[in-house]
Amino acid sequence: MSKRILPLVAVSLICCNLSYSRWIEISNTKVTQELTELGGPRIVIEYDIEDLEISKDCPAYVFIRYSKGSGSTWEFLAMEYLRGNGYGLVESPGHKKIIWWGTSETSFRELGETGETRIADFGQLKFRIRGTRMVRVPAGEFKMKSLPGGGYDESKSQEPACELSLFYIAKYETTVAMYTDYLNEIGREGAGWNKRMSDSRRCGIVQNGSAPNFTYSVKPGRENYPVTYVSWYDAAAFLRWCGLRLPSEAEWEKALRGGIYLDGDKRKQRKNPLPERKYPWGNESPNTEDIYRCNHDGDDDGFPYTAPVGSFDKFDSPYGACDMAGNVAEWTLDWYSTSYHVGLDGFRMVRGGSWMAVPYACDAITGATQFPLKESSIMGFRASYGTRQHTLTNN
Amino acid sequence: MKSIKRREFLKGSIGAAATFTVLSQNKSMGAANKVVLGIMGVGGRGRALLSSLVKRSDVKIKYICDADTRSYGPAAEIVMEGHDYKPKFVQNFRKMLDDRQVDAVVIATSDRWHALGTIMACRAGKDVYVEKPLSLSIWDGRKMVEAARKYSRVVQVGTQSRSAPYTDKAAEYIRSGKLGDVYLARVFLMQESGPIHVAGVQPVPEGLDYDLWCGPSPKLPYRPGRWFWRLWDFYVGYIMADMTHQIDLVRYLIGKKYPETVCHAGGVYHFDDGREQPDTQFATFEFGKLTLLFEASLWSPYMHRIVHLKDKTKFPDWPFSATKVEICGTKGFMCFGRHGGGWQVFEGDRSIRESKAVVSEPASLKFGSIIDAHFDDFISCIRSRKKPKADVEEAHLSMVLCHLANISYRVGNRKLRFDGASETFVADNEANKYLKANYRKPWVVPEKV
Repeated sequence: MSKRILPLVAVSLICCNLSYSRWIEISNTKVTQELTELGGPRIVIEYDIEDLEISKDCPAYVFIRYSKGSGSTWEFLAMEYLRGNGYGLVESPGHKKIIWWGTSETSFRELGETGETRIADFGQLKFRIRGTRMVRVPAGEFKMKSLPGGGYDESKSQEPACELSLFYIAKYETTVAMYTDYLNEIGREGAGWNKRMSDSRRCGIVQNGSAPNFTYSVKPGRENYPVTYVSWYDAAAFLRWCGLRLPSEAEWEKALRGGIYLDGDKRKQRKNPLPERKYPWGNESPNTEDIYRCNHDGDDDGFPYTAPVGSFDKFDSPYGACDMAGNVAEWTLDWYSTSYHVGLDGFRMVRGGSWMAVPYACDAITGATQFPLKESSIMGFRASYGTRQHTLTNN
Repeated sequence: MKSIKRREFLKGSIGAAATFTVLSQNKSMGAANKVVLGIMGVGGRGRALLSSLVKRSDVKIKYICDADTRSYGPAAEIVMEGHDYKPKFVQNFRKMLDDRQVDAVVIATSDRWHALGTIMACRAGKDVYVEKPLSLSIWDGRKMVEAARKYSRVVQVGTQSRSAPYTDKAAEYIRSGKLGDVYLARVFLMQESGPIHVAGVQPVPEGLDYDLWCGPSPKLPYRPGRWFWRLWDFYVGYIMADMTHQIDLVRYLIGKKYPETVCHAGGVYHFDDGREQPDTQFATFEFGKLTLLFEASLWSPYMHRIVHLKDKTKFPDWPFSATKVEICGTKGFMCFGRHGGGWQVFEGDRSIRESKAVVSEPASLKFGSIIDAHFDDFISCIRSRKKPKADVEEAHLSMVLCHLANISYRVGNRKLRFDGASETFVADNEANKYLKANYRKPWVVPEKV
């Protein structure tokens, strides 16, 4: 294909959020504009991602948000417009990850002085690239709610889901730093924040200034703690901002326990030794033999309130997801109702115990129901990526 | 947290209770002192009550108690958020009752524990807030009243509508005679529900004292979910568990106690899920010259609860209001809405053959604020030693009507005569068998409280 590459108009307006913990570090970013003869104008984004933990089983999820003007409003860059190896699931670290954004689909194309098509006000465009760690949960069968006491949601199928397609779930719970970054982009009027988030023991996000120019900062040292006091709607909005979503209950439980085969039903090479495990690490209680395997009720585990995400990473799930037991209970996509609650429904399911839960309430199956507006110091969330599946809801 | 050993529990339980000292009733409680509370049962309803209580600065939540230790976290978090301390958690509620610092207990367990829990708390010198439905039988309820009186305890029941200001105004309106002579009242609980699914039998999960959880009811094999709501030994039924609110409201409005007769119609018509209690209930009660009708169903999706009415300055769409009360007088017709629905009075104009609203009293408050107002009354009565608006005897009298309708159904939808003075059916051995619930030893509601 003959292609005329016009001189580059290089701009480096990328914010990589290096100051925010738990986004993956992205460096050496560069944005350029190219005009192609047949393909039209496009923006090329390059960056380095050097996190050596990134792999096929533990990829980075990379997403881009951009601003056309002063940076006061930002938009999610829809991935169907992109090509390259640097967006969505990035399965290896390396230099010069590349994203091409064909702007013919965008609204800010214009004719140049010499009649060529170019991107309007390219110099005004700003980009933010962020990445977060995910773990891969291969397709296949698993055991759901196979232990006593898992509750019984009368609104759903009476046969628990036991087979799921491939999906990805966040390695860590969403942190205070990540959520603060989000607030600084969308919360100028105050949306997404509530006063209790400023509690330095349980969350630690401070609101500064006044509407419509609120800014947000993290109380020093709180960056890596899981965000709390988020309603179900807050969690869903944050994840939509990222291009992600909450996991269904079934996905959440499979991510904790593992499938019958840890490498999935296509390969069937790695059999899960404990497909009905009680906890991410196995069946040992969270606090036996003076070993503390997660952050549950009490101070003996080292944390009177929440713990920084990944503090118990030796006790992660078979896929490497951390803190699925304890720390903060996690919102899921699923609704809950009973025959009694018909007409009064609205409950959402929360999983995983918390820093105030007794040890055995941090298991694979115990769930709690909460109204979606509930903002709690014991509740947070983590992301999921993949086709929505098996929410099993009638709603 | 270990399960309660049966013997340990019995040591201080109902069998030995005759020797109880009323421990805390003489405790001086000045206005500056906080009322120290223990919460028994912290599932969904218990947590809702906790959320209201922690808004108060005049109470301290010292204990939360539940047979299922897994419920601790979400409940303790509410206290931590509201009051910034962690309450103690006990699985054995006797420990809570033995603590002299505890002034009152809030009982939000499943229904089977309401009677015995209240009686034991009264014996231990505690004031009591107990959730509705008050009792599993007429006899249970009477014993609760006796315990409250014998130990001079404040016992308030969770029939919150009595604490709504607009309720008082409606009662005053009727008593003033503006509605004329009232010969008919109708109570509705027509709503949507679903089948009760029954999960398979499982081992008892870690952290649940299942024996304690079953309490006075039969210890059937463990299953998750609400399978037990289908059974008379555990539950008065979906309809009566909620209908008690409306019945209590209408009794408050018309000022009646015991009916002379009851006659039930209906049955399990719609749901094929093994439930024992009817899904369709119509009952007629005769109070001298006043007849009370109630109409209840669980298969009526076109009827809507007033709780969904967001704007409390407006009125429900009365024909489709699931939880309304209608008072029919010789001059006017009152529609009253539970859940903050307000009330209106309609009068007819013969000349144009039309009726129109002549009085409209919106609730103008949020439903949650009625719960707060109800607790205002409870705490106030703990200090003043007065009877609360929703005193246990009032709730018992309301619950009697629910039990009467159920018993009429259980004896084949027969019309029954009832003697209020003795709280027994007149010359009807079959019906009288249902006056008392079945209890599982040792959790038996005692003859002498």
